[in-house]
Amino acid sequence: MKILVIEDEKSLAEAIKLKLSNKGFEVLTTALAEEGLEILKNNDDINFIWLDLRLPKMNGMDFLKILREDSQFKNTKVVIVSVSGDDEIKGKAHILGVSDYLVKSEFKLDDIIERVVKKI
Amino acid sequence: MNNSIATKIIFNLAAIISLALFVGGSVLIKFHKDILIKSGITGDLTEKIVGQNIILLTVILVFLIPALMVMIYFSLKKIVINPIEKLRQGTEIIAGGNLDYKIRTESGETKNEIDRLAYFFDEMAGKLKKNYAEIEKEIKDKTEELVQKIEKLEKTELALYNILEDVKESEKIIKEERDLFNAVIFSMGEGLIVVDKNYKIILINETAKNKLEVSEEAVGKDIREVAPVVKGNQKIADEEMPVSKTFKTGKPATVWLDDNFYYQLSSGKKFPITLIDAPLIKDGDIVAAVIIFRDVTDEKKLNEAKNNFISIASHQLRTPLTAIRWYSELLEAGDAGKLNEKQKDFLKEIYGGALRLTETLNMLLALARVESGKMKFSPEKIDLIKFTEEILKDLEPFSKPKKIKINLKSEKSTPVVQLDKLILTQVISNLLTNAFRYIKENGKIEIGIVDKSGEIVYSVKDNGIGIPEDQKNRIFERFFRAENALLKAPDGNGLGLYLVKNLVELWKGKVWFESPAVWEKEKKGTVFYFTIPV
Repeated sequence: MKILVIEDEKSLAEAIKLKLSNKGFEVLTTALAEEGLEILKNNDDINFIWLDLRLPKMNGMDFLKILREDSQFKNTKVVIVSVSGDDEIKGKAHILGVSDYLVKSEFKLDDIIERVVKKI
Repeated sequence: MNNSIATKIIFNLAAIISLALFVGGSVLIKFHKDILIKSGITGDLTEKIVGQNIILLTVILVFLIPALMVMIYFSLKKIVINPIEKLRQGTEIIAGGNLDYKIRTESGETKNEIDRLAYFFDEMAGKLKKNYAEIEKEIKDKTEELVQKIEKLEKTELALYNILEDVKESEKIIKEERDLFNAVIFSMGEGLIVVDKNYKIILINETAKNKLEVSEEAVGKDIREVAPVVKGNQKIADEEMPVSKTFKTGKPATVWLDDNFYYQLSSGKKFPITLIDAPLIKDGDIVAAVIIFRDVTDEKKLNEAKNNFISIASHQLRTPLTAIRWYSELLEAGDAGKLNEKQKDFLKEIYGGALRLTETLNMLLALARVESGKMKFSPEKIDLIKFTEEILKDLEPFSKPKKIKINLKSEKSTPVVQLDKLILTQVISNLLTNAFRYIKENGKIEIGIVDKSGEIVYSVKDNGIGIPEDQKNRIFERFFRAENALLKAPDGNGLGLYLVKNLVELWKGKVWFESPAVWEKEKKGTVFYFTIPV
């Protein structure tokens, strides 16, 4: 199974990739949401997205909006893993149909991976 | 002198008598001579007899008259001169002021005119004395009366003078107060405008003129035209204006920083304001309103900077901390190869440090949100027992190493409350981590959930170090740490209980504690309580 991880913090992206790979997933990573859209278009077998919100150019929420407007990715599962636990953003994210919203600092990496895998 | 009068009288009398005797004697001698001649006596004899008569007359004149004069003198002196002299002396004494003096020495009827005169003099002196006494008394009375009146007048004058002084002093004070009032109003940093019930400006201070870019001519103009209020970019309706609300309710109206109110100037410029309107009430009616506003451009910027800081701190500090924790986990899990025991110990230190830093950061950010009023409160149904169990599981890294025995006691099987999950997590986690921190190995913790008429009392009891008596009143202060807590766990930050109190107060709950806590066999440690309305 192919997973796209959009995370601008290289060290975190690598840790996630390592853990998910260990679980047997094929992981593609990018630091940019725009690049993520490109990857999705070129890899129609990606059916799960790990999304950070605070990204260098286009932010995670805008990425999510574009994704949901595209019929091809309307139902693609997305889990947001962010440092921010802002309720307003959480609410918006749920409206845009995210499977889960996790705050990085509140969980151990193993626990996050476990929760994400459950959603896959 | 009286003697001279008497002498003159006597001499005059003597002269008159002498003349009378001389004339009478001469006539008699002539008459005797004629008789003698007629009787035929010769001339010689006649002349001889007449000569003898003349001698006799002369003798009489020489001896008799002085004797007579002496007799008259003494008689006159006794009868007239002495009483007159007495009368004179008496009148002199009386004239000298001695009205008690009596001229008459004898009482009884008066003997003659002089005595009567003396009597009348005495009478007159007596009456004069009486009159004098009456006049003196009257003068004395009148004088006293006058003195009293003068004193009274003086007092009145003094009182009037004092009143005048008071009036002058009051005028001075009033003037000083008015000057001060004017100085305060016109130099105060806040804009001040007074408007009447028709929204016409009555008074405007310098700050308001400068801020609103108007002159004294603004007086008499409509405040809604001089300084329209907008919220964000939207013009607000007249009835929504704070001053309208004040006129309507008769109560002060306030605009806070977060209300996003601005004054829109005719130049196109606008600036954010905080404001308070207060009614001016006269005889029970609102006659005007006082508007005090403040240009809060700087505060707005500061607030935005603060929010940005929270956001930046949240991201920039949490991201590297997450990296440290995750990579510690990866190392510990053997994802980078097997570690020896020493490496594992070091790794635990790194991980523990990162956890503490994350905890402190989370607290600081939560605190910043609470204090800036930015803390979002999204209530949802929470099963307290399940929720507590989840938190206990998350906190196992703190409780397990000390082998703490935790007992969760609840009266209801599933007490459900409506609360924000994140906030409640912060409260319970803080109380539990505190308990873990200040407890010995194999210590015990009892979590109680009790339903008490309309509210749930949640308690966390430990048998740890307790709170020293003299520091109990400071335990909820920001950054405060009790002495024994500092010794037992130097890594605490003194924010936990302060945050707990602020968070519980967000949902109008109460927080308190008892120390030492009462256990079955001992009194030890602390029990913290907080309430949740049902």
